Amino acid sequence: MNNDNYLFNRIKKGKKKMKKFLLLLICIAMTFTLVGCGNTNTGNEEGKTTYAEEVIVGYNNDLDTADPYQSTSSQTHWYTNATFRTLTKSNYDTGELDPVLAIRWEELSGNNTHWRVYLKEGVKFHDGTILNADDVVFTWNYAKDAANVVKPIASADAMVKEVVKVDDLTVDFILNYSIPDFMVYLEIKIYSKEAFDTMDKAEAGIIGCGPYKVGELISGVSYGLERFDDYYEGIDEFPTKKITVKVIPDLNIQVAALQKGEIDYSFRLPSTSYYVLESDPNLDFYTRDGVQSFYIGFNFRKEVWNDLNMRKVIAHAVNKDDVIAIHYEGGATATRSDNFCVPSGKGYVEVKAIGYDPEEAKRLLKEAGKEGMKVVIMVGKHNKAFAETVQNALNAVGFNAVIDEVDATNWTTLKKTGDFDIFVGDYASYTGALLFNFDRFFTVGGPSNMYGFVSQEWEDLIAGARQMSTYDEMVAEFAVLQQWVADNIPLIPVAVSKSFAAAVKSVKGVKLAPSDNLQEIYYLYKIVKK
Amino acid sequence: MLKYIFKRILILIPLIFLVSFIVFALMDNAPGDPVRTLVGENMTEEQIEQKREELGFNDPLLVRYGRYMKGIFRGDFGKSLYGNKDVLKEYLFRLPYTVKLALLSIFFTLIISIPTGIIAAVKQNTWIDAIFSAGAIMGLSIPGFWLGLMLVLIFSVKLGWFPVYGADEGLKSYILPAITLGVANASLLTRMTRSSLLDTIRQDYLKTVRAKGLSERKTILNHAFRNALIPIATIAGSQFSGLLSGSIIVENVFSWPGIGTLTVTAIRTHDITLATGCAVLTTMFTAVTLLIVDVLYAFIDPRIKAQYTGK
Repeated sequence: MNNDNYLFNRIKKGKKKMKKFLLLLICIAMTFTLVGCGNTNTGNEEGKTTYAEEVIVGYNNDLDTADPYQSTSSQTHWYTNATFRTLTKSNYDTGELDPVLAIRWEELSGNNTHWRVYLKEGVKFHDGTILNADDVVFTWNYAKDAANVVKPIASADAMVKEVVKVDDLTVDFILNYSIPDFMVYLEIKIYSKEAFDTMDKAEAGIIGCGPYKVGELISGVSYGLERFDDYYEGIDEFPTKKITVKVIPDLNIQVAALQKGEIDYSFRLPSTSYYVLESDPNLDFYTRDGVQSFYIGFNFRKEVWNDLNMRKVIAHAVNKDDVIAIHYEGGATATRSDNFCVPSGKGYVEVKAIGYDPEEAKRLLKEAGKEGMKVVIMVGKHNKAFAETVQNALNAVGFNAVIDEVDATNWTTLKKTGDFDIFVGDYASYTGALLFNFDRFFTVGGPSNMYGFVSQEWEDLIAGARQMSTYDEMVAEFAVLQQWVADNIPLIPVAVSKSFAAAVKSVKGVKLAPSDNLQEIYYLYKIVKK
Repeated sequence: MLKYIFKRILILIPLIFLVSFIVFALMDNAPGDPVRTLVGENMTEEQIEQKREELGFNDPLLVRYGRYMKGIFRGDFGKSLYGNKDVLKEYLFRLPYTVKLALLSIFFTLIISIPTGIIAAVKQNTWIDAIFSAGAIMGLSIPGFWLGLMLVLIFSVKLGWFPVYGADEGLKSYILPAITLGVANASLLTRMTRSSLLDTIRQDYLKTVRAKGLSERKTILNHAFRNALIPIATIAGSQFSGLLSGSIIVENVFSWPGIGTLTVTAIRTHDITLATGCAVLTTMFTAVTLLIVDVLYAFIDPRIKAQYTGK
């Protein structure tokens, strides 16, 4: 009996031990399950998609500032696309103007000089304050003044007489002259006025109302974005809590980092890596048409280039297809262009340009008595191969062309003052507004007209376009202007860029924009498990 | 000794004036307009002039330089033109990355070059000497950027042993840049060690040492090598101070956030305040490093110590 009791007790104890052991196993299994899901922010239930908390992007330059108006650099521009919101936004896919913080607008004067803008309600800034008309009035007045900022709102004083708050969510823009496409110019990032009232300028200048706020900034190493959970449109589209941009100055190293998976995404890659990345089975490759125009410009301060026939000589001498083949990886990174305006811009038309005809170039050059003339081609390092192709073409028709390679940082100064004949340049149209770009380049006093182009005929044409009563009428008038540029050759459009990017397979949400400045990396997310 | 150190520190003051003025004047006279470079094509001529006035660029060079130096002697190295960052803070943030890399690189240089230099000298005119000498010439001839890229391709991309870029992964991040920086230095120092030791080996006092019956190993290491150390220490000291000013190419290849890239960025963007600040601070660190090397001589060579102490 005692033995039976003993055995019974042993069995009972054994069962208890077994139960304890099973309980322990279950606990361990549960712990592992929970730990396994700890790295992700959503969907820890079985079968749901889970996302990485952080996505790492590579870029070759450090961020100089997170204030959109204190730098002209590309990285500040695209970084602040995530932290700030604009009133309107040109849709780079459709060419149309999309409402953002301005939900609608109307023209009140009948002659395009009084625009009323209605703001979105309940938009929260990163400092917790709510957007109102004061913020818009403040931003305009503050950011147009070169004393306050490095990158003032372009032509603000020339265009706008006054910005007036009508009520908390309505603002009036009273203009100096008719601007049918004025709303295009309101793609301006809005500051929080209260932040400027309560903080110092450096702190206040980084407070926006975008889906991400400024994260950790480590000089020379990385700059981060942290998700703003109170974003006015919700955070459903933004599963990534943190986006870190790593500073990798050497573009080839960036390619290596991408291939090794040390970064998740990059849109600033060397053109020579195009085919390598395209065929990499471990990466997703993205490409699209860009908005960067590559062109040959003239120094109109030199009398010789005011002669249309001499400009025609250059236009006839250069075979654009050669430039594309040599400089743009056979068309992979840019396509041939005859129009300075990019195809995605509203109102773009095909133009008939002066084409490649070396015999005609030789004839015109002989007629002008300029055979053997020395032509200095100014170029920045990144367009050197382009310039070399132009040099060969010019020498082939009878010029003595030489290349003057200049440092990128001196480019703007030299364009204004340099002793060159022609230059190879590029320009990215951020807004897609044709009038804006035309004004910049060809109108006297335009910020990009540094090479002294003057034409009364052009001034009259552009003034006429401004007098159109609607945006659509003005867009129709653009066709005339585009052909005028093709006929009169204030510059020779050669190519339009193509953007490309690559991401590791698990990264999704890539919205590749047509230029660096327009990139929207804040849509990126990384799938950890499905 | 203290008097000597004090004298050397005093010499720093005119040196700082000289370096800062040269850099300031050169940057001021470099082609291009810093304000136009800063604002790009976004301002009208009127606005550019307004900005130039606001940033003090319309004042004469000497006025601006005087204002800058006044700040430096108050410990204010000014703000960078780009992003309005505090120059001293920015420099001091980057400095540890450069110093740590320089230390590791010089360590790598010494552990490679001294043994190989000694062996090459002892085995003079043998095949071992020939191999080491050829290796040293090769090391001196390989361009740093090429070596860096090759190391990244092999050890980071193919083998995955080290990170491709940056300084985020502790010691692992330091290995490839330190080797890249160290190869040329080690090659030079190997040749230096060899020739310096060969000079010493031929001295008469070593015959006495050998005649006393000391082993060849002890003769070389305890007597010959110690006397050969002075030129080696001089070169190694100069190499180390050179490394402290940052290596632009290696920092660029390895995405290293050191002061080399900071200085080059400042020069490229015409940021006079940042460039001059970097030059002045680097001069100070270099001068102090060289002073430390000079003081170390006293511990290597008792004759120098005797000169300091007057004994």
